[in-house]
Amino acid sequence: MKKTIKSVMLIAAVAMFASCSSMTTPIAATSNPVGNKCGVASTTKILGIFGGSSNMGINKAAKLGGITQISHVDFVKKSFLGFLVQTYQTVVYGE
Amino acid sequence: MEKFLLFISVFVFFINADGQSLDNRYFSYVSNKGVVYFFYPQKLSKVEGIENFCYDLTYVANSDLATLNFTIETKNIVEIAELGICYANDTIKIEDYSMLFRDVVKNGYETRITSTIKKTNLLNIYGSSETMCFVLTLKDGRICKASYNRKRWKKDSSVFTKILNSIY
Repeated sequence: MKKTIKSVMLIAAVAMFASCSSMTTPIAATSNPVGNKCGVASTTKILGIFGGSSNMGINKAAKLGGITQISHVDFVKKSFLGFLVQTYQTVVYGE
Repeated sequence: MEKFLLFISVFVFFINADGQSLDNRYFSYVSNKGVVYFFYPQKLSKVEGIENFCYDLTYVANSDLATLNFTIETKNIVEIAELGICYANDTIKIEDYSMLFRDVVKNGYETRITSTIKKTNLLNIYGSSETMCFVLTLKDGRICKASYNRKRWKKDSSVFTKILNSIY
């Protein structure tokens, strides 16, 4: 019985650490037509503590993409190795 | 029972590991000019003369040119005189480039450059077994380089070729 519990826990751990989930949510949309430029501002957090730049705002993403007219904005959250590594991205589309 | 569960664990691991490969590389959406393919920013680990180098690509279906944007982080303010991409024994000189912005960051300056590159050149670059290398000649004569490490290039180049070939 103990061995079975251990094995089930092992499967759960492997599934959690091997999984990579991604969730995209809409943030904003304007009346501008959907342009062919795209800018991404992102930050990666390890254990929710360690991470790079925390500036992942719309302004940063638009600057990186050279966008002056924003059509819409998405927010993407990605998780790797379960909850250990998480990447947050602001994606700005426009012209 | 134990062996069966172990087999399931290994199976789950590889199924998940394989399933995530292309989602993190690019995404596409429909604009008024057609389907746009955006390749996520790629940070290059081997750099010379600069602190950081990161590039991304945007390609609109049915066009000859892709937009190549890149960010360089340097200790001092730099002015680029020439820009090229080396692969195998060939160099592609990029003529059409301009600066988007320059910011002051913790370790110096961050400069964002926008340029264009032909799709055929991209296919040649990613189709090469030799790693691609960005070569920036500065106005003061210094040469800065940024390239993939060999292991990552082998993996990334095949994925990028696969994606580019799938785009009409």
